[in-house]
Amino acid sequence: MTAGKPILVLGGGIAGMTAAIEAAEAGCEVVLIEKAPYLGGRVARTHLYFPKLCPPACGLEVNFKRLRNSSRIKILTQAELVELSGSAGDYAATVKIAPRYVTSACTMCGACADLCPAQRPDEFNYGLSKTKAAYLPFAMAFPDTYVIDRPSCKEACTACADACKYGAVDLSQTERRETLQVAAVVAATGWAPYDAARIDGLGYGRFKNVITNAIMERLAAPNGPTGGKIVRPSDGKAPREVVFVQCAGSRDENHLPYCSTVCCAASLKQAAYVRAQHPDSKVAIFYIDVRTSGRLEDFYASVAADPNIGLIKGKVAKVEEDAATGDLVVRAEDVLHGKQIALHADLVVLATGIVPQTQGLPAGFTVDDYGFVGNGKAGLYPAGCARRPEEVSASVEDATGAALRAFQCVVRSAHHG
Amino acid sequence: MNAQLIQPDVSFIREVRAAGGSDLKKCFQCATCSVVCDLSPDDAPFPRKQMIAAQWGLKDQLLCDPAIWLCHNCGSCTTQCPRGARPGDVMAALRQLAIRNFAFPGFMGRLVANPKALPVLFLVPALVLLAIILWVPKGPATPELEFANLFPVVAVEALFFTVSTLAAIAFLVGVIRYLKALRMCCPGILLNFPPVSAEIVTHERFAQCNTNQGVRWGHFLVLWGFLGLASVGTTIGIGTMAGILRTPLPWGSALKILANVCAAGVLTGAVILIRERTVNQARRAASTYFDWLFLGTLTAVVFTGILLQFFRLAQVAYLMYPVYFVHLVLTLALLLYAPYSKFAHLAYRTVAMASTEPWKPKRKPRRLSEQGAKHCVDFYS
Amino acid sequence: MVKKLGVYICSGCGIGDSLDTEKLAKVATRESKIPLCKVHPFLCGAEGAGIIRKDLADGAVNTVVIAACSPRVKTDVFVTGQEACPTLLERVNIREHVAWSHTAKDEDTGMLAADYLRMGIAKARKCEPLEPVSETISKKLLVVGGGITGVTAALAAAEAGYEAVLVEKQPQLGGFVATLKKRFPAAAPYAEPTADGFPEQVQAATYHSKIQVFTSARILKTAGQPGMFDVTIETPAATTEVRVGAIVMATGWKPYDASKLPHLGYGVSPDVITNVDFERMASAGNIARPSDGKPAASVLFVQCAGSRDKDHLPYCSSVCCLATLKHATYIREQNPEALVYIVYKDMRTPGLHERFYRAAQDHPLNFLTKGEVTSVGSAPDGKLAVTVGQTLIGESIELRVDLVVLATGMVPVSADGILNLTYRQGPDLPVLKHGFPDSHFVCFPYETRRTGIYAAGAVRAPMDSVRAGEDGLGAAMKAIQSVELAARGQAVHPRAGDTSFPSFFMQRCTQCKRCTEECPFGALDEDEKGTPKPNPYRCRRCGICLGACPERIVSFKNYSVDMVASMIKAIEVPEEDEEKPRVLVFMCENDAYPALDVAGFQRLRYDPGVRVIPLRCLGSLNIVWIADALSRGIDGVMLIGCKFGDDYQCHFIRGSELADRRMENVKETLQRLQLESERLELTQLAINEYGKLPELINGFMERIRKMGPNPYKGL
Repeated sequence: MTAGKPILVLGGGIAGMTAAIEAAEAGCEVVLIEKAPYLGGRVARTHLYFPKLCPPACGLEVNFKRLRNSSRIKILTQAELVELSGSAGDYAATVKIAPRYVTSACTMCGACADLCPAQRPDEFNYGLSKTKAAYLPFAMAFPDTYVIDRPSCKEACTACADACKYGAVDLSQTERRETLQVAAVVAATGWAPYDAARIDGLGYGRFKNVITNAIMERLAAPNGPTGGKIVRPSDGKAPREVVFVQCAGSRDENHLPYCSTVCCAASLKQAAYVRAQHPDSKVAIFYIDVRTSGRLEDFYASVAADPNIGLIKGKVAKVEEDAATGDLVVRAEDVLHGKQIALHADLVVLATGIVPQTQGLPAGFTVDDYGFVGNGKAGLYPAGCARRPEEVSASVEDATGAALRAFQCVVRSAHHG
Repeated sequence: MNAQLIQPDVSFIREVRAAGGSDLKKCFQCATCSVVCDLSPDDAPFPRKQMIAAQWGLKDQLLCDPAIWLCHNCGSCTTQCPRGARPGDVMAALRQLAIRNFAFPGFMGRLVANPKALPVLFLVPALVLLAIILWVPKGPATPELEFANLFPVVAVEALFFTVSTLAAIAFLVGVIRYLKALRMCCPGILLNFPPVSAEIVTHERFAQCNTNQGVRWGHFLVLWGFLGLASVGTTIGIGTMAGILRTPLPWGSALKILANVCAAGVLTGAVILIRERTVNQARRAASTYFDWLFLGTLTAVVFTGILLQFFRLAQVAYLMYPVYFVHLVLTLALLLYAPYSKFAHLAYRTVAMASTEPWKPKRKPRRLSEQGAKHCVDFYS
Repeated sequence: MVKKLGVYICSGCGIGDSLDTEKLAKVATRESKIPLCKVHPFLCGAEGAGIIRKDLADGAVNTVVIAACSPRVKTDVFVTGQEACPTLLERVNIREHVAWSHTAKDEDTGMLAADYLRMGIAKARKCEPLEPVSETISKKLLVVGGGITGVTAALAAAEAGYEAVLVEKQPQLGGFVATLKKRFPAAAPYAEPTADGFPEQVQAATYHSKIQVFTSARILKTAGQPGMFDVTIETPAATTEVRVGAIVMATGWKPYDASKLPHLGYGVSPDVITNVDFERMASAGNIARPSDGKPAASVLFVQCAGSRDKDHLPYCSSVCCLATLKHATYIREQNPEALVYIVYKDMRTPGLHERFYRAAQDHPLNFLTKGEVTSVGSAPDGKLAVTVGQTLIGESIELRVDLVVLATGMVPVSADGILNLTYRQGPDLPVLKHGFPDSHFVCFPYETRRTGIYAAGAVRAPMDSVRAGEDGLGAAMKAIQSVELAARGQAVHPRAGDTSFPSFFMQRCTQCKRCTEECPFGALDEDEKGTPKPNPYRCRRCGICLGACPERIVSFKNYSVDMVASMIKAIEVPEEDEEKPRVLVFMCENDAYPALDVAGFQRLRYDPGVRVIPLRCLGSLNIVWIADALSRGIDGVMLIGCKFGDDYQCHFIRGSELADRRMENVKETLQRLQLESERLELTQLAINEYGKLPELINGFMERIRKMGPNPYKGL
């Protein structure tokens, strides 16, 4: 193909990465911007994928390799789009890039972190653990370069710069702006878990042993705050009775008036985590409808076949805590039997849903009543969970399709300009 | 097992929707409602089951279901319903339909429920009273202005006796019809009356109801105030007819004081309840014509009653007589339509409560490890 | 080309603290007689990299061995990119795999580093520059199936400047979606089904100058390889041959055969129909009982009719709940007073479709319940009597209705002579599960096991029409990418950009057919005698053929049996009395190797007796290497690859499984040689299981120690 202007991809999660890689391998120039200091987004924080129970790092490693090998992709992390003007084939995008304070000379030797005296809550682990202020977001992070969280540093501290033998720490870096001429924009700004503290009655934020599915992923992950041990936050003990609460916020006119699509399969998966790690544990999953479309049905059948995993039709409306022990009581109606049910639980996992992230989305994209991004002006294409709640495979498909839409703009602009 | 033939009663579904349950079809059976309800018993939770029965038009099943009366209409289910199906409103609509269904004579039930018939409802007692003014001979005028100058005491008492009797008969027939529907024999119910009475005395269930305490005390005051007024009224009626008492009673008489205390109670309670229905957004939306007809009439009865006392005291004829007339119209309406208005819940709820066991405490939490995770049927078990 | 090797050793990142780098340099200079060997404390820095660049530019070296960090990092500095320094760069990992994971200044650590360097040098000596294949590549796409997926794919490709050939078996384009009365709501507020713009798309595709449409057509034959597929298309008018570069297979779905559902009344009464029949009836404008033509005053929908049923379709067909809700709205248009019953297992209206569920449900005469339809029979009044168990309104209920609609599911049209590939491994796309022809449906959903052929739409997974159209876009992107990569002589996913190709030394071929059978991508055809006929553009460069070949005739310029054998030979095996067992570890370079890197990054310790050789895929393991190793006195061999089985994680589908199968044969050989079969072990390891590696390695070393030294040591 004729080289044209690049495609700008907003968001370096699985959707954004996919759009960037697929377009680049087809011959497009791509600029990928990500607000975090690493790529991989929510997927990087996921322990295993359903239904194969395989680690996301496996696919990410391939994608990172493709990124490394592609000379057509420019990656800007800690970057945000601040302005977009123009039209399809001819957009001018201004990008704001926050300082990383570590240059590409970083060898990942870790000396900066070893000598760093300050700590910061690790947002990668939803604040459940801490890192040094000089840190690598996670072991397989890409770009494979340390980051310095300057606001968390002790005042005027230069320990990291002093520690680095390779001159890779540059504390004089400042925010910079870059203006890019691009043919099209793919918005893959992703999602955030619904704030479970807003759901009255389920106790999140009040009861320590009520956690969200997002936190469960971190607890189960070997690179998580507990080194992969699923334990109760209150006392670090292994939970023997775990209850999953489906539709915690989703399918609810008072919260998210849509179905988040992935939570049923996610809870089945997490039930499998619990069972694999604690053989004497028992799990109950409370649901309204089990939604495992397509081939996920096989997975549902295999998880449900475990005699120690019970599925109960009925939405949990109340969780109570025994303050002394931190134990919980989950209340629901067992709809198929028409009885109230009160179950004791050591750990309650709320299956919180998907809230589209549209921060930093340029004008020109449309956002619907539910916060999801629709097609915008010509040359602006949404992809992934910013567009609709969907699982990883659907995000990848979506992003590949969006890449083609953007590619068309590149081709047209190359012909005309 | 023989399959039960289901034939949805389509007109019943429409009636429920018209009576305030317009969102009922939105329910997707998650049972949040049953769980957030603090009155919902462990083994027969409501209102989730009632919602699907109503969606399917299972009229016979619903109207004899005591659960519809166990609900005290706190509105928690409606507020927390994830679907916006407003189960509390549906339960209220079902109660209304139950009253209408068991009404004797049936047309009265439909008349009282119909907002268009509102002028007729008040016109009838007004005309009867007018007739009394016009055609019943009055006694000699008293030195002070007295109500007897407008309506002879005997005529009024006779009228109220007749109306009360009619209402009592209607109530009786309605309750018998209800009991038949319940297929319960009376002795069983009688055994349950002590706890029911205790409940009526204390309003304990209102306290369990996770609504604000205002409703509990509002309802308590209205109920007991009203019962007090009814007793005083009956006593005075019987007393005057027997010639033992003469109205107006002296200010210091025990009956008079009791009546005023009760009136104040009803008024206070009514104000609380009216406030609740207007200030609280969810409750305001949930309040129907049927609710307002009863609450409005009752409040107006007591309010005019207090008012006319003052006017009589002040001896203002042009205020005193018209207010008295209005008061009597309202009181007659209240009594005459009691078996068909929301008033009737007094009887139906009492019977319903006696026919079931709503006071079982919430069961102690069970453990998955004790009962096994597969205790519940699911798709793959 | 005369090899001029240069060895560059980095002493940064703690390497210098752990190893005597000068001594290590002597391995290169003295032992290996490489004149140019430089040690630098910061090799990836501007100065270090500059030295290498200068030596290359001066012609002092043309083959570079870098002993520093893992080959996974600093790829932008030590360029292995195809354009700059294609093959002649060998990275020796003495940081993650040596300095960071073993005791500093220890003798064993030093021996480990020295062996790795020897192995790297040995490999570099055998590497040859790549000779990229270059042929005339067709960039035209073939789209098979003219439904919404195919039409969208063809149009999107054409709009991106690529010619497309669109083949449809029906006399006109449009497929199933063109027969629909309405489609599911696709935009906020998602309350009403929509009539949509698909007919316009069909028109656009029909008349697009870059799209050649064949209707009433079928594909007689697809021969060739990506970039040069020769496709024979037969229409009633003519038989045409077209050359295309890549293929989008959008052959869609067919409804599940309802005649297999007599228990739901299908075939028992004419008034039991499928949802597809219903759609057709509604499109025609009259919803009536087929038996007597009277309007249907009551209709019952049976969800999951054949789906989510282990005796029929074990998967969920994804769209039937929505289809039924849509059909309920059709009924309302015709007869607002009709009763509509929906019996479901779970209502599945994911995402924003929940809005449609809520809106469609909200009609006084729609009746929904969870339940299991247990029988459909005739009622005395001429209606159908449907009994439903486990409902929310009773244990067992009976409903009397005029019409029963079975919400039957989607069966992919993936086999039965669609493409008629002339591949040795068969005419169809291999399927992963339930007839869906993909290979990695979570991470790389478009990948199939036939390079350059991408499945899209309902043939790939059950999906609605909006998704199917979008899926056509994605597959078209992959097809375009495939032809562009082919034009550059590069591999597609997962080794995108690789320009190496396997070559076959045919004189020694014994026609054993293992390579042609085992290639997961069907890249190799055969002649009548069974001699492999390579199709380089189908190749994914995994090297499984290389591993399969007992005659060792398959090799890449930068990856061969000989190369690995020479690496094995380069390992110094201590004498028996030194009590230093040596274990060779063959590792998948995609997952296990990065995991070992992470173990190093986390400074996890493990036995320094292991020598790791990364393989492109464990399936490329040739058993001769094991024989080589054991005959050299190496005490044990570990194979660490991806998980296999139904939920395989191998990027090349069957690599680790094939390696496992080969092990069975090797173990027999071992027993014949009177070697314990336990000296050989295959482990499946996921990339995130790096924490398990030390235990895994140490455990094996322990068992080897207990077994005692390899008796062939020193022979």
